[in-house]
Amino acid sequence: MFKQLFSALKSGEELDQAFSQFDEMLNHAQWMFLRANEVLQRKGDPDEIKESLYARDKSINELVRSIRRRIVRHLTIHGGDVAACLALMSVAKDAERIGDYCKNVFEVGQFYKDPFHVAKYHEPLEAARTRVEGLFDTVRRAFRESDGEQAKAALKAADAVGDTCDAVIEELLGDEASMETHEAVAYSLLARHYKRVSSHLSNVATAVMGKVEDLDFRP
Amino acid sequence: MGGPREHPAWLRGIYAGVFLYLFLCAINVMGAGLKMMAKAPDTSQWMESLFGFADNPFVALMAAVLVTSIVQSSSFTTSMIITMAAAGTLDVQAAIFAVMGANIGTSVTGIIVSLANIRIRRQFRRAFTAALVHDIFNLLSVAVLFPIEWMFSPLYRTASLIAHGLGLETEGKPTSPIKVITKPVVNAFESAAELLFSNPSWVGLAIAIGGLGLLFTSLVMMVTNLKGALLSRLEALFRSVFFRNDLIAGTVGMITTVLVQSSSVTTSLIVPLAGAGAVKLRRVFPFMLGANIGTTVTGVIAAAAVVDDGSTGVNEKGIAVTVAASHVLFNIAGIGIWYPLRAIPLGLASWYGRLAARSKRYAVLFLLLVFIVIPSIGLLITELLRSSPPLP
Repeated sequence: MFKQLFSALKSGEELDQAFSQFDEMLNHAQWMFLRANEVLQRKGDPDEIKESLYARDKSINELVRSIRRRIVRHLTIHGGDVAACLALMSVAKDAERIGDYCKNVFEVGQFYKDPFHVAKYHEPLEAARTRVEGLFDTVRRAFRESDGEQAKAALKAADAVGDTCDAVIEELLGDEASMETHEAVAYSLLARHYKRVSSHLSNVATAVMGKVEDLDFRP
Repeated sequence: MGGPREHPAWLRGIYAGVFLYLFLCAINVMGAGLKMMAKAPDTSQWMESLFGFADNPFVALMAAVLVTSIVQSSSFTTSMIITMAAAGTLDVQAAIFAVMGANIGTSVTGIIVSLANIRIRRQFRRAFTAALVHDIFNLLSVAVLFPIEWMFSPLYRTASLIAHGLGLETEGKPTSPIKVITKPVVNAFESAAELLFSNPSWVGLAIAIGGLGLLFTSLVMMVTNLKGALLSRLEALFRSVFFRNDLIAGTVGMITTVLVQSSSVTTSLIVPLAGAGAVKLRRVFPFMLGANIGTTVTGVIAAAAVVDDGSTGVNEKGIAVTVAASHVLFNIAGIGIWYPLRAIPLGLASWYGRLAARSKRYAVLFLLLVFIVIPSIGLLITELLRSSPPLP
């Protein structure tokens, strides 16, 4: 017990550890996004991936609760860094939502068994997916290094993903050509999920800008 | 735009060391002033009548409750009581009752802190109940041990045996290291007071007041700096992992209190954490018990700082240690009684916490009852009984 207490006394600030845990959340979410898309592209076995993907989501949920506990402790005991704590509280929620959307992407891959035939939807969605994959790295780096320029680049990339996804949805809704219903549903769900993932990543990027009132909004 | 300048932890540590030195000096400055007043012909009788009134156990208890709740520091009250007892201005047995009062007084801080959670009913209920756990434990301990001590003096007898066992019946040596290191500050206060007054009573009073001021300031500054130096480290001690069982929760309460030298600080930290649901109520109880034990260390330091110069004809060091030891024993006895029966304080606190969450008036009522109504009634009864049973 005394060993535990001693190592706790040596372990340093709770807030630093909460920030590390947030990066861990994004790391899990990024892994989930990649694996979910592998299932979508038939590069992975859904049954094999499912268990570890859901385990990662559970870890994300544990981490968000742990971050909240650390923030409460830090604010109660230390009292400082209120803006950082509020920002972290907000972005941890975004990371938790990203985990949920990655699960949704996985479920599209799991339940939609056929190939994607319509290039005008499939190609822009593939471009959006590639962009989101890169976005994870940019946002994580921007947050870790508190780099405003990287955050701006992330916001720009997220806007591009959003525009692409909106265009796909708009096109789908106006499309009178014959297409399988379940394929149309898959496109629309993917467009929605990719947009949401990039949106939550862009929310994280807004925290790098430093103003609590501007969290989740473009500067 | 910059916030308040943050001092590095090591510098805070040095400041805390300086204020610890001033705290040791303050004990002796105050003691010197009180002893001078007690020896002066025109104030000795006045002192006897003033502190003779405080020899009433209930008066001693209530005075300590009030002083502690005003200054929000049982360390201050306990150190003051020890110094007064050692200087011979307060009866040693009355000092033991006063120490019990300091225990009750310090629990007011938690109640006040819990009121900050009033916006969210559930949070307030949890925070207020956590604060009540401390109050109720202290009240119940006093309810049991006060009459026992009044009738049979077990704390006094045991604490005296401890002081005797430590060999403190001998007079302090002039080369005592504490005497040597504190002497310059005591001399400085004496010289300053003699410059201002010629009457020995006034000189003694000025030194005693100066010592009291130094005691308060040095304690506040010592706690502030210890808190500043250690808080980032202490955060980790409040992790859920350390509230998994009562033993660890109690140890955390004791360690944090010893480190920051203030149970008011540590209990104030646990109350909002309990309010936020980060710490469970049943773990708050052992934490508070640990904090109660931890806070007795300040009294032990104060007792260690008392220098027996043989001027009063009493064993000052022995008395100081007796009072400090009785503080430790009182808390250990309280834990011995109420930890096995913890369902009672926890049940009472939960029941009243629910009432207070329903209507905030109950929270105010508790403060009034505990700190005004009950003491007044008790004082009245004590005064009525005072004529018949003398102090043992």
